[in-house]
Amino acid sequence: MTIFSEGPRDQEPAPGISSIMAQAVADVRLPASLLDQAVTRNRRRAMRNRLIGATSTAAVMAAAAALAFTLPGGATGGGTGTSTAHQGQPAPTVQTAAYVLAHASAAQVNSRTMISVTRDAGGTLYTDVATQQQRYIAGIRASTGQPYFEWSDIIKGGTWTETMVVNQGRVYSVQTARGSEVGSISTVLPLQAQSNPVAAFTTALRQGMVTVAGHQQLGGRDTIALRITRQATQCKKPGHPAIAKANCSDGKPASTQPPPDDEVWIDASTYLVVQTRTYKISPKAVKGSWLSFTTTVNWLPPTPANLATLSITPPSGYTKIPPAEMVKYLGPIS
Amino acid sequence: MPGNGRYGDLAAFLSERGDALLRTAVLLAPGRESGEDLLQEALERMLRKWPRVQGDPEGYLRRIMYHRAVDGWRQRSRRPEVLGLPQDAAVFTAADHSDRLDLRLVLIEALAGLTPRQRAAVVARHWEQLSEAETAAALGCSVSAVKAATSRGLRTLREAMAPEAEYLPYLTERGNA
Repeated sequence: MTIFSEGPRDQEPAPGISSIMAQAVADVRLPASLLDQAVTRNRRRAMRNRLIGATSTAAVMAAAAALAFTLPGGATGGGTGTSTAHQGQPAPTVQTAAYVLAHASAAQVNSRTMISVTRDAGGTLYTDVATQQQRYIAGIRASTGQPYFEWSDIIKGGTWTETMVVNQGRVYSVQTARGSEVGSISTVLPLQAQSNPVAAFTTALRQGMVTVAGHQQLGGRDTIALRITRQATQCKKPGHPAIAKANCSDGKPASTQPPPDDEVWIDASTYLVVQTRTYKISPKAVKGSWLSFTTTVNWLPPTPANLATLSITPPSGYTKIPPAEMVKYLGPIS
Repeated sequence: MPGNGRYGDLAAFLSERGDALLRTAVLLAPGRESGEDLLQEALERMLRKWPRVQGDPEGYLRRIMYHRAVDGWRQRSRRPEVLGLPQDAAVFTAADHSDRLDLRLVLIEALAGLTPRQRAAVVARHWEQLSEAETAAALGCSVSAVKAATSRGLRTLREAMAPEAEYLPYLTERGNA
């Protein structure tokens, strides 16, 4: 499998890339409004220039403001169309929907250098993608008050190691794998559990799957709510890995109804995810109904102390058992 | 507005050549919306001199786009970018077009990883099919600079797109056949 040929002497046209370019832009059509927009902008520029010659600076600023383009959408709308920042004016500070999404995208990509702490009804998951470590602490308690069970995964030197401790039974197991079974540790946050989260988020943005719902107070915190639309047809043609394949069965949607939008709340200052709500098909409830799962998210810097909490050392006195026997000790929660 | 008035000739020209110009802009920018911005800015600049533009407006527009793509247009990225994509979203719902959209996204992302000059050189050579000398004239640089930029750009593109090949039939030998 080759991407495209290089061509003789590296300077001749490479037929592959020409073909790829042609395929990629084949359906691009010039919007009918593009010339209108250019003409309008040119007229406004000309008018601004005339004003500069005839009035004081203060008057020019006022006139420029009056002539300024209206930014499409506010933080509560879906920004569409082409960039409207106009020449000679400072960058608008208004948070357009696109501005929010662009910063949210960058924040999620950057967040992969931090430790995510996600909490839901089941327990707490610590994930550090950079060092490929993950630890889960169950929310349910053992009779001793300790977590019923916990486990840690680490991938290092091509070896995956999972240590699982069941405090209720005072047992632990260690499981390892090498080679093709190893895989990788990724976050469970929306659009991040992909081999290429940057491409995943970019794809979702460009496909209009992510929209800004607006500002919301969440526990006294100013957040911005995003909605991530999933589509029922994704099962049949998953295409790019950025496209989620959840809620599918045998390659077909498990429900004839499209799932509710996933919801993501991002901090209004840092744009990091602080809460998510996803939906999965309910196997037992009324056909077509959806169960919601809410997860809160915190972020920790990857300090040595924080990274140390990602690994588990089985307490002394615990019995080491084969991984296959662990199910007996997990009992009702297995 | 431009249809019958002062810019009627330009509107007629764009109805014929606008798609091709926008496709070049999308590759140069790179991106659908960025490409529209780039072409719109080139149009706006041409309009300032429209009464004096003689001969080939397409060549004039292309020169502006290439110069802006290489030299100054990237400064605009500091401004808030509007990412709404109604056309792409519409394409996404049409299952038979999803591969093409995926391909465009992969290509755009790979092109974004090039330097402006490398991107412009690759687009000029392999999309516009310009010769090295013509590309050098369009970019305002030497032929050797075009050779170097094209070679490095292709290498970077190839590396960037390789991981996506299994998802995109267009990228495989079979898909290119």
